[in-house]
Amino acid sequence: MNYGILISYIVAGFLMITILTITYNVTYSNQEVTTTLTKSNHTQAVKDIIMHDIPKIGYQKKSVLSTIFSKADSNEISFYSNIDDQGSVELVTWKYTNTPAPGSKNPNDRILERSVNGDVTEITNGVTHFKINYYDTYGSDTPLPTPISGSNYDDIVQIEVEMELQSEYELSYDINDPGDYVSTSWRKRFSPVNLRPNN
Amino acid sequence: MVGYDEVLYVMLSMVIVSTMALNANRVIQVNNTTMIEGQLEGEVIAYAQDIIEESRALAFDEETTYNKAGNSTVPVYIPSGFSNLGPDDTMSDPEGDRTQFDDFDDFNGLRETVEIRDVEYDISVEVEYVKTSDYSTYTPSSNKTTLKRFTVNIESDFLRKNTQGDQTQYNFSFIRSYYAD
Repeated sequence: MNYGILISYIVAGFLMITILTITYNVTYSNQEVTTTLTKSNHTQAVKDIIMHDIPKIGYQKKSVLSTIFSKADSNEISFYSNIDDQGSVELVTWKYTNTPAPGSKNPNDRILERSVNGDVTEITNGVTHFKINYYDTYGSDTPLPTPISGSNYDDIVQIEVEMELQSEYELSYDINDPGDYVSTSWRKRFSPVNLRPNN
Repeated sequence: MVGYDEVLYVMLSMVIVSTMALNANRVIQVNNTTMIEGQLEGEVIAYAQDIIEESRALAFDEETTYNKAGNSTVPVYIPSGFSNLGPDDTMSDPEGDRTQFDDFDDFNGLRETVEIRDVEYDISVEVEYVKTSDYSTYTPSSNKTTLKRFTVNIESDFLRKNTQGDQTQYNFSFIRSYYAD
């Protein structure tokens, strides 16, 4: 028996296993990074629209609207604003629905809706958490209880949006593992100009 | 009997594979760091914006806050009539924390630690009077001026220049003019 060849095969086997493991680890890591980047882009896209809308709450050219909110709940906000700065004032609504996002394998993935005067745009980018908090004092840690009644709309000075997006599919290192959804989150508290107490 | 040639080949191949493994681990580590840093930096930017927006919602100066009728009171002499920087904490007008601040520079000296998604961030705020001659470069002024610069500094144990290095300092500045309010 040629021990030299046998030992060579054993060593070669170990090396092959090492190489395959490294390749698998790098591939998995790249998959994780790519999914995270995709989710970050999706988050950025939704963030951009929210950051376009919320600061304009109650906006009207050269004046502030007398009626600002139509609804203020933890999963839905509806407000008036001349959002396009043209023509009349629009009713803008953001609502996190209970409807599962079509085509997603993530059970927590639900549709986020943005509507302007009833013209609905569905956001199905993997939004798994969307919550709106309202504050009656700048810098306060205690949000107002929701839904906020119409008589208390004038108390709102800050609006905080919490959002989490997850991948539509699971990433699993081991085929027997349950796997994880890649998630990205964002939280921002707005202090809209037209909600300032001295307007 | 195995010759020395074969032993050398085996050693060489092991060196090559080990180098590959080390490089691959480094790539994975860099990937993970980049992913996490990107997330945390997003939180840092959002929080800094929150504080700046909040300060902008308040009056420019303690002396220009709103009276009970909702009208802004303006000092006779501008800018010498403006207040000193920092909270103007008095018995009749307490300004011990953020919820009691009523003007832009009350945030000067604010230090707090906030926890966002299980990560702690150290926040500090500095407000100073600044002057400019060309409206592109601003320098701190020892006298009161009509311009105030608000700087938010944020650090976290999880955001470092490298693994063993110093914490990365994130600074966000905003300059507010009394006349542009």
